[in-house]
This record gives sequence, structure tokens and C-alpha cells, in this order.
Amino acid sequence: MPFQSFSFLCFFVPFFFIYWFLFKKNVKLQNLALLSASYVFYFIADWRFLAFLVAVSAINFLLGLQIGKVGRRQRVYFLLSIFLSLGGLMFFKYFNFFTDSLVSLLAMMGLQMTDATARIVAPIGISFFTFRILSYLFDVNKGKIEPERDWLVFFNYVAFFPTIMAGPIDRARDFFPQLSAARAFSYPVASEGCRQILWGVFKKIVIADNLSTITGPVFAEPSAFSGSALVVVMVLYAFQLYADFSGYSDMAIGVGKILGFRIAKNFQYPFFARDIAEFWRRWHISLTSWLTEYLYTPLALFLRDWGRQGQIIAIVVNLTICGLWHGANWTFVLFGLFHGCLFVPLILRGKAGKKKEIAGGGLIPSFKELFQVGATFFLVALSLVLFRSPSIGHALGYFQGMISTSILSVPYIPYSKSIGLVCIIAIVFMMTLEWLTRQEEFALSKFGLQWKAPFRWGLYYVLVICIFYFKSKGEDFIYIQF
Amino acid sequence: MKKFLIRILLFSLPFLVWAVVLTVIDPYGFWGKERTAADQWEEKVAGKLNDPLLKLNQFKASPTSGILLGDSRVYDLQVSDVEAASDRTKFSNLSYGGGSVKEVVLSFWYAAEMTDLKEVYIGINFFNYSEMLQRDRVSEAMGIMDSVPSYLSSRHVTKSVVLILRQRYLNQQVSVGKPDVDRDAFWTSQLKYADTALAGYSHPGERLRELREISEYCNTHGIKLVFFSSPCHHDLITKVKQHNLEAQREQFRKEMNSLGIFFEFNYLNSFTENAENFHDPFHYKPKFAKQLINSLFGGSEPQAGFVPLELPPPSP
Repeated sequence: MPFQSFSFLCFFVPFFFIYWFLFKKNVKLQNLALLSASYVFYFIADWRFLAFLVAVSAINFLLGLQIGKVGRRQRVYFLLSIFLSLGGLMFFKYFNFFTDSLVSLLAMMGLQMTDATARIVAPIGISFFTFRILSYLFDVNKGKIEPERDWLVFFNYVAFFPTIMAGPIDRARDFFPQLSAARAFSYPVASEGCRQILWGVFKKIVIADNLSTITGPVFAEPSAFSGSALVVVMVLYAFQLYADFSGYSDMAIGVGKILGFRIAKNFQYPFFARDIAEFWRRWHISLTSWLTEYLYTPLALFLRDWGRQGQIIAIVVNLTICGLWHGANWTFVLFGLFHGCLFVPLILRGKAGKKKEIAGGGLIPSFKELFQVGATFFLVALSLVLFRSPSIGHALGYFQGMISTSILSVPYIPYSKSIGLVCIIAIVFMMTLEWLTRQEEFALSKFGLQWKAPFRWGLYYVLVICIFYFKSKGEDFIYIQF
Repeated sequence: MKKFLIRILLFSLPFLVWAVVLTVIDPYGFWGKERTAADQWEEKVAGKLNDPLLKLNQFKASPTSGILLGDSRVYDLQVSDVEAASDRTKFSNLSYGGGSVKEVVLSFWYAAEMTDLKEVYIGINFFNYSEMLQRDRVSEAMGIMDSVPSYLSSRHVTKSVVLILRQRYLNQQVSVGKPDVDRDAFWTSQLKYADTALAGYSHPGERLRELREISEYCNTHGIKLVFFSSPCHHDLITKVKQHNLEAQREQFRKEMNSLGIFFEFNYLNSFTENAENFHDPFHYKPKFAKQLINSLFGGSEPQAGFVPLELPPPSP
């Protein structure tokens, strides 16, 4: 049930009235309604794993209470909870990967082993809700937060329907207070939520879905296309992924706002980054900040005596695991490793830290900044070929196709002329608007708010008309598979 | 809260009104709207914008046990002529301009799910039998037909209604998809297109697998399955040699022959050498469609150009 679908509207509108009218004076009932809605949402998405989701919530709720008790067994409970959470993730998401890799490895050694194992199907959103739970367990163990004693709050935190499918990954310390406190409807926040949903739907439907009709066939059979077409599609795929995932995040955050929640930010205009370190501070922020807090920082501290070498090892490990988090495939491992390697020169030159605002917060960037932005974008787009390819061999074939004399030919992709033009215009519009509003949370956050109502509404109508007019067959969100 | 709800309602109002207009005009017959002879032009406008959506809706409303699948070269085969030649079976033409093999496969399964098929005629030429050509408007059309909101929010429905309203109330004649260049220029541009398509030719392994599935299904269910390649002009046929793809064309013929009955009309002969018989290198003039039907359905003796090429029997 994607946010931009009519079925979601049918689900959300009745829930909205129950939530804000029927139970507005009782936070417990509101939370109960929210949890029921989350379970209905998950049931519709994949009913087979609803019981698993409830069980995971119950086990970790009880373990969290035990970890919070001071005593000798605290550490045992903590290790048990980590083992169970990571074990579940490993089993569902990586079991096939490890068995396939083992079979391949043995085959390379001349040992034939039939791959007779059953294929494991992973529950939707497992990477996201496992990471939410893990952050809670880490924080309770470190004493950063008290264990949650209200099961409704905890269960809601795990299953919160706007974010369960593909994040953002909220921290318990930010989310619990919002679930425990009474919530009042706020017109400015709800209308901001609507604008954010509108912007998210525009990016998803007009840009990402249409681009997928161009990039899909090319990635399916790269050998059939010229080098120039492969380069064009590589660039377009970067925009597609951004529009798809940031569009999803905007919709999730917008739905959250309508329900009175502030959900963690996931994107901060990543294509304006001037180096790879800045890119990762702006891309999938809720995951990268999670990994920074719970993986990179402890590892860097552990390796602090090794100086810059320790820092490099920590960042490469961090990004490789970040890559592997996306899926059980060597392409993701290489994707992460590639990004880790891009950090090395920055660390060696001591330039991996935060930078001043691009263009000094003004309108026109310098040539140096433009070059840096372009180079970073190119490296990211290049790495996304690995991200998109089903296997390393396939990705190598893609790169091989790019490095040929046909790179100088006019790019040709059948039936893509008109849709390509629409996409390019929409991308230019998106990037221009995002450049102008890059200090804000999202492009429509403040843009146009000072205008008179007819003009402001005119802008929103244009976006809605574009959404209807350029709607293609509709694709699933890319990150839902993770 | 009140302010929020009122504004949401006000904002949605124009879209609700528009939804009513779309429902009344129903350009693709989603609600099975029967059109009078005077309103047939509305269907033509809609079909020009999205042929699969119109044809699949029509098929859903009245399924037939015979179907014609393929691209624009099959498009010109009139159902009434086919029915007259086939004598007993009712036919629908589910071919689309610029159609791909992928669309053929999807349309076949859509029709097979809808009714018990008896005869299936598939037009595939070597030029669209390539992995590079993966156009798929059928999935999109099926998605639009999936529910009322999908239909009402479709750009094709909106665009058709705008064009129909323009013609109906502003008396503006609309022409959709007509090339605005003269015949010679269009001829040259089509040959250029063929060059690009053939330069990127790649054997469509996945499509062949899907066609084999269709072939097996037809064998199991006693459905007559016929493949054919419509004649194209000499300029286009010789392009295959220029691109060193003769072996691939032979492989295509062998593969088609192994899937079912196969008629190859696309080879050098007196008909394909005469430019007067063609609109452009890809398309013979519609007046010859009856001759093609005659050859396919075995009526009177086939005329020159519509005698299929003799191929060796498929190897077991």
C-alpha cells in the first residue's frame, strides 16, 4: 500500500478521523488506534510476518526491561537481545547470500554441493525495524534512556506505519517522548505535512517512476546499448534513486506530521555535496547517523591508537557494512567498499570534517565548488551502477560497455525521447527548487508561503496536475526491498 | 482542524468535478460505454493516445476466441476481413502501433485469462525481435484498468477527454501521432531508426522463453498458434545484411518455426522491391492487408509477395 496510492487514502482518511476526533483526548487510545492501524498496514503489505513483528516487539520489550535493571544479568540479557535481533536479520536477509556464496566457493575449489536449501523470504522492513530496536537496546544498555515500561509505546515505536517499510530510522530517545505525550492537532504542522507529501509524490511519480521506464530496460540488457546511452542512464539512475527514496521519505515524514509526529530527517540535498564525506552527511541521514553512533564511533575509539590508519579502517568497515545493510549481494559490499575507499584521500588530507555552507549560503557557487559537486555526483552515479546491478559480472559488463568507442555516439534508447524530455525538465525543476530552498527542511517547506493564496494554490495545482498527467505504470519504492 | 479539513476539501473540489467529467465521457470504455456511430471518432482519438488501453477494455467487454497480436503491421488487418476468411471464429485485433514482443506476450496472457482461446495469430518481424526493444504499454494499461481511481487518474484518460472536449465544443480537429514530414523524409528517418535498432541488436532470450511458454500453453489447450512476418520494403530487408545480422535472422526464422506454424513474408521478391506498395520501409499499404489475410487463412491462391518463404521443417 504505497503512500501515493488510492488504497492508502482509503486506509488513512478513516484512521485520521478516528485518531483525531474519536480519541483526541486520550493518548492511550490514540496509541492503541495507531498500533492497530500499523498492524493493519503491515498485514496488508505482508500478512505472513505480522506475527513475527508482534513477537519481535514483545521479546525486545521484555528484554529491554531486563537490561534496564542493574545487576549481573544485565549484560547477559543485552547480549541475548543483540544476538536475537541480529540473528533474525541475518537469517531472513543474509541466509541465502551466505549459502549461495558457500556453494560458489566450494565449486571454485572443485567441490560440488547442490543448493537444495529453501529460499528464505525476508519480512518487509526487517532492516528498518531491527535497526530501530537495536538503537533502543544500545541506548538502554548505555543508560542513555530508561527502558520503556509502556508496551503500547514500545510496540508503536517498532511498527509505526509511516516508517516501517523503508524508514527513516528513528531513535527511541526521540520517538518515545512523542508517543508518551498528549498530541494536539496543529494546522501549520499538518499543512506542512501535506506540502511535504505533495513534494514527495511529485518526485516519486513524475521523476522516479518515469525514469525507471528508461533505466530499467538498459540495466536489464546493457550490452544492447551504446556506451553513451549507458553513461546517460547511469546519470539518470542517480536521479531516479534520489527522487524515489527522498520522495518516499518526504511522504513518510509528511504522514507523520499529519499525525503529530516529528520523524527523523533522511535527506539534506545530497547532490549539492562537494565531497563524499559531505554526501554521506546528506544521504540517508537516519541510517548513516545510526551507523556513525553505534558502529563507526566505537570502532574509531577502539582504533584510536592507530591514528589515521585506524580512522580509515573504521570508515571503510562502516561503509562496507552500510553497503551490506542494503542487501545480501556482493554488489552492495563493493558499493560500500568503493565509498569507503573514496574517504581515504579526504582522511589523509584531514578534510573529512564538516564544511562551510556551499556558495556561502548564497545563490551562485564558485567554479571550484561546481567542479567538486560535479565530481562527487559522478563518483556517486558510478557507484550506483554497482548498487543497481544484480551481480558483479553484470556491473562489470555495464562498465565495459561504457568504456568503448560508442561512448562518442549519440545516445539512443528506444521510446525514451518524450518521456526523457519530461524527466529532464522535472529534474531541472527539482534541482533548481532544491538549490533555492536548500536551507529548509524540504523544497516546499517555506517556498511560496509568502505568496498570495491564488498563486500558492496555483503552484500546488500545477504539481498535482503534473503528477496525474505524467503518471506512468508505477513502480514499487526501491528501498522497500531492503 | 476545521480549517484544515475545509481547505483540503476546497483544494480537492476541482479534481472531483473533473472525475465526474471523465466518468461521463469514458473515452476508453472502462464502464462499457456503447458509442453510437456518430461518436466513433471519440474512440479513435482515445486509441491514438493509448491503443492497448482501448483494445484491452474492448476485449474485456466482449472477449473473442480468436486474437491477432503484433505491431502496426498487424494493426491494419481488419477484424471483419479476418472473420470472413476464418469462417467461424470471432476475432479481436490486439496489436498496437510500435508494439513489442513483450506487449504481445502480455496481451496473450491477458486474453487467455479472460476467455478460452481457439486461434492466435502473432505477427513478429526480425526488427522487433531484439532484446533492445522492450517497450511495454500493456502493463501500464492493465494497471490503469485495475481500479476506478487508477482509470480516473490516468494521464491518457485525461488527455483523451481534453482532446474530445476540444473537438466536441470548440470544433478543433485533433490529429494525434501523424508525422508532419513528407513521405521521402519519413522514409529516410525510418531507415535511420532501423540502423540504430539493428546496430544494437541482441538476441531476446527472455522473450523467446516467454514465447515458448505461449507455444506450450497453446499445444496443451488445443489452440491454433500461427506466427508470421509481414512484408517490409527491400531497403529495410537489405539492412540486415549491411549490419551482418543474416545469421541472427536465420536463427529468428528457425525459432519462430519451432514455436508453431510460421509464415515468412519478409524476404526479397517483386512485391517487397516495389516502393509503391509501401507507405514507409516498415509498412505495406493497408490495401494489401486482405492479401496477407488470404495467405494466412488459406483462402484463394496467394498473390505475388504473399507467398510465404519456404523454410526447412523445424528440427526435433
